[in-house]
Formats: sequence, structure tokens, C-alpha cells
Amino acid sequence: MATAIKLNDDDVAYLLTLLRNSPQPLTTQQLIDAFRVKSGRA
Amino acid sequence: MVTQLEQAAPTLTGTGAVRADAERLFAAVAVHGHYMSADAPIRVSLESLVAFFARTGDDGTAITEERILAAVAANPGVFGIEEAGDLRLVATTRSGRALTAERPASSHSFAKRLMTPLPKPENPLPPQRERVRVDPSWASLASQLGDLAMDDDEDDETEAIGVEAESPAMAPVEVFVEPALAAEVASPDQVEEPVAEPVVARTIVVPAAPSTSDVSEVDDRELATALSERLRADPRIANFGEQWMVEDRVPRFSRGDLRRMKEYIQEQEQPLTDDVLVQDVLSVRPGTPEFDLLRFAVNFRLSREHREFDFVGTTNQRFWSTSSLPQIGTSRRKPNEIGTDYRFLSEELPAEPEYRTVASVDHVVTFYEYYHGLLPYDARMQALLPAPLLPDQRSVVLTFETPQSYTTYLVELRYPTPNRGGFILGLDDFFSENLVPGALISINRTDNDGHYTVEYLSGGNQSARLLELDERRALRYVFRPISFACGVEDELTLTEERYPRLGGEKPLDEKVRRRPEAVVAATFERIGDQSETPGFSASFSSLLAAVNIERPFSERLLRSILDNDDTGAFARDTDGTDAYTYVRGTTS
Repeated sequence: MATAIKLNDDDVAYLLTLLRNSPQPLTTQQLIDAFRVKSGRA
Repeated sequence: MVTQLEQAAPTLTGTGAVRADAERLFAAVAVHGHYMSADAPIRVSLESLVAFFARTGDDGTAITEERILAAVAANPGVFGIEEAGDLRLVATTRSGRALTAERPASSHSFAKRLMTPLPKPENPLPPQRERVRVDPSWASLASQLGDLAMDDDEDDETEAIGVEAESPAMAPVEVFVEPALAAEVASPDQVEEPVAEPVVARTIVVPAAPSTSDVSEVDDRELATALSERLRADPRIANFGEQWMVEDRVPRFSRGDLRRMKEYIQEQEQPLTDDVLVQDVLSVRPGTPEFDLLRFAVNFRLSREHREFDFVGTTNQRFWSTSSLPQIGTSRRKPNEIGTDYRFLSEELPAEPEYRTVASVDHVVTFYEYYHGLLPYDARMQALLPAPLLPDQRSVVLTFETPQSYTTYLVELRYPTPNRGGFILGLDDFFSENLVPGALISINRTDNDGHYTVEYLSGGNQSARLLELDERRALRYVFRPISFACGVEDELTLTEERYPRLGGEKPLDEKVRRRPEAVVAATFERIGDQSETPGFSASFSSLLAAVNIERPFSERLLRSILDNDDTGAFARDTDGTDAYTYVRGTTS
């Protein structure tokens, strides 16, 4: 299945910061929710 | 302990009469402040004192206002005159000291000390940190690119200032610039204030780096795919299933820890979940802060040990196994051979699997499945069971709970490969203790994608002579009386009444049973009706029950062989309802 969107380096850096600040592993859904908040803020 | 303190009378001065007046005045005022403290001010109006002495004194002894004032004037250290509007007040204390006399400072009283905290000490300003400066030879881009035509050097200089946006965003980022730096950053066009005026802190708008497009229209599944594709390729990020973490924050295990985990799995003689490994091997209890972290670490680190550990779990039930563990399920036939038997299922699976989309699947157990204690991984089962969690996962261990027998079985689902079909092993005991071939079972999913319940249709106690494979001497099919209490599909139950000629038959040779067409032909000869010579006739349901003795057949496979036979040996029986005929000698 072809993916319509692709994450750029800034998105990866944002997610990396998110993961680095978390003491516990995060789920994919948590990353998606955070990514949506970031996208909406932008 | 002091119980009473006699107050010493003050020393009064003045001539005889004035002194006597002063003594009477002090006595009168002291009585007025009898219950006051020694240093509390006692103020009595001059008017009331005159009235008092006029009322209490005899003729000639009454003290007039002039005499009071004379007494006060003669003893300035004891009395004082205060004016409050029109009133004149004689003021003194019980200790005999005038209020105007100097008194020790009492501002630091006990009550005041409690109620009024001391002011915060003023800290000296921290010393200003020295700003790191780049060598001037590197600071100017224009000097480095002097040979090139630079139209707007000042703009470049502005961009060269290291102003960092905290996070990239589409909106402009407001950056506060120190006053001293503002003069350097601002271009001539932007400077509005005259130079002579004091420099005020300014705000410069810097466009941040462009971010990703708006994802509000993208659904979660698509976003998860994009996110997984990108993050899995990043070596800084650790991933296992649906969980993510920064790789360098995932705890590492020593070789000893890994060895102990492997030995513990071998000791238990079955795959173990990550929860069990963290609790029993690493001695960390559930609920402790580090439990989730260590569980993720177990999964992530063991997934890197391909030679020692195999992941055989699901998202909710993460089982780990080792290569040395005994196989789950039947030992009558090798898993590879079973996979080859089920090869036809690969063609029946949908191109786009839809895992866990149905809640339950009903199934009739065939003789082949009963004998080997397995179930086929067909399209319906695929829609019930979970997808492999890892890309290279070949099998998954599931728990099948049977509420009717209060037992939970560990079963292994072997996913299909390009050359072999999928199947579920490990139901030998459940089948032999509760069911017979032809029994109806229902497999239901639970919230846990690794746990399922299996129920069979209960029936009254009944007895029948059913087909079995006698393994005591030479392999041979026999009918034996069997009692059972499960519901069965009559057409698919191999009773002696329906298939009398199966008794005494030997299993087909391996070369024959490899070819489905040959197995169908042999089955016609075993169960077919010979009344219509020269061939055999049998109903489709009878054929389906009997061909599944030797090897697995689906309805679709059997129908395909019967309808699409190139040799012409099989044909639809025009006389019977959904029956077929077979003429011997036309297949090879």
C-alpha cells in the first residue's frame, strides 16, 4: 500500500525528542497523538 | 519564683508643698493605671484630675490646676503634659518615668518578631558569563565570499546570527534579542530609532524551517504506516511491536542474564512470556516503576539475539522460545510435511489479509485434523487470528482455553510460507478427550489477541462404531465402538454404517497421497456406490469426509478437482443430488 505522507527530518527530530524525554516506551498511538498536536500547533 | 513585685516609688522633687502635690498627683494617676504594666503610658486629663482633687480634698487641700501644673513642671522626669485637641493630659507610667524621657527601643519585640519576618537578604547579582565569540575571521560571510557578488551583505549577516528556533513550525517564531545584540542584528532598514536614543530590546521575526504538511486529514492507520517506516529505519530508535523508545535508554542485559533467560525457558519446557521472564529471571515485580521498561528491554534485546531466541508471541501475549524446545503438538508427522499437505490453502487465502476481523469461527473437525490434533489456517481462521507481530515471524504460540473442560492449551500457529500452508498444532489432547471426527467446534476471540476460547457443541451421551487408525501392529483403519457426548455433523462422521468398506483398509502409500487426484480416486473406490457400473458414485459430502482421512482437503479443493479434472475420470452425477462419479482407469 502506497503511503501518502512521508515524515521529514524535522518530524523525526520532534519524535526523537519526545521519545528521549519519556522514561517509558511509547506506543505508536501515543506518537500519532503527539504528532497530530504538533501538526495542529504548526 | 516572684509572686509579687513591689514597685519602687519614684523620686519626686520640688519644694515642700509642690512635692506633696506631686506625690498626691502620682498616687492618683498610679491608681488610674493600677492594672497596667510598669512602662505602659498612663494618661489622665487635667480637667478630671482637678475635679478629682476638688471632690476628695478638704478645704485648703484641694489641688488646683495651677498647682498640678507646678507639680508636673517640678518633676519633668516623672510627668509630662500632652495635648490632644482641647484636652490637656497628664502622662506618666507606673514606674514613674515621663513618656518624653528616652526609652530603650522595643521595636524588636517577641510578638513583632513572629508576625513580621525579616526582609529577604538581597543577593548580589550573578557575575555575567562571558559570551563565547567566534573568531572574527569566521564571523563574516561576506569576507569569506568576497570574490562573489553579494548584493545584500547585511541580510546575510543577519542570517548568520545563530538564532535557534526551539522547534520547527510553520508559523513565524518570535525571538527575543538582547539589547546589545539587537544593534548588530538589525539591518539598516529595520532600525527605526535614532542612534542617539537609548537602545530598546526589539523583537525580530524569523521564519522557522518548514514542517510536515497538515495531517488532520490523514487517518491513524496511514499515519502509523508512515511513522513506522521512517522510525524503523532510524538506528537511534528502538522498536518492538507497537512500542518505541530511544535505543540508548533501553536497559542492556549481560550475557549471563541472557543465558539465565534461555535456561529458564528450557527448564519450563515451553515458551514463556516477557512478563514471566521479567518477574522470574530478573526478579522485578509487576507494578514497580521499572517493570514496563524492563519488559520492553527484554523484548527488544531478545529480538536482536536471533540465534538464541525466537519470538512466538502476539501484541498482547509476547511469548519467547528457544530453538532447543520440543515441538508443540503431534509427533506423528513433521511440521514441514503437514505444511506441504496444506499447501493448497495458500491459494485460498485472500491477497489482502484481514486479520482479527471476525469474532468467531465454527469448524467441523475432520479425521486428519483429529488424528494429528490440528486445525487448518484457512481464510476464515486468518480473519480470526492475529497477524505476525514481527516481519520475519514464522509462528506464534496462542492459548486456547476450553471452558467445558477447564483447560487451557498452548497451541502453535504456523504461518503459511510460499511453499507450505498454515496450520495450528497442539490440540491432540483436547480432541482425543472431548471430541470425535465430525464434531462441531467454535473458536472465539477475546480482547487478548493471543488468547482464544474453544467450545464444542454438547450432545447427549451416544455410542457409535467410528473409524480409527490402528497403530498397534500394521497400520490399518478399523471401526471401534466409541462413546462421546459432543454434537457432530452426521454427514462428516465416519461411522461403520455409512462407510463399511473403510474397515480393514490400509493408509495410502505416500506417493499416492501426495497427489490429491489419486486420493480422490482411491476414496471413490473405498466408499463409492458400484451399482452403476463400470464406475463409482458418491455424494460430495461423503467424499469430503472420506478424503480427509488421508490428507487435508477443503471443499474448494475437492470441488475443483471434481469439476476441473482433465482426464475425465470424475464427472458430476446427473442422477444424484450434488454427487459425482468416478470411472477407474482414467487417472494415472
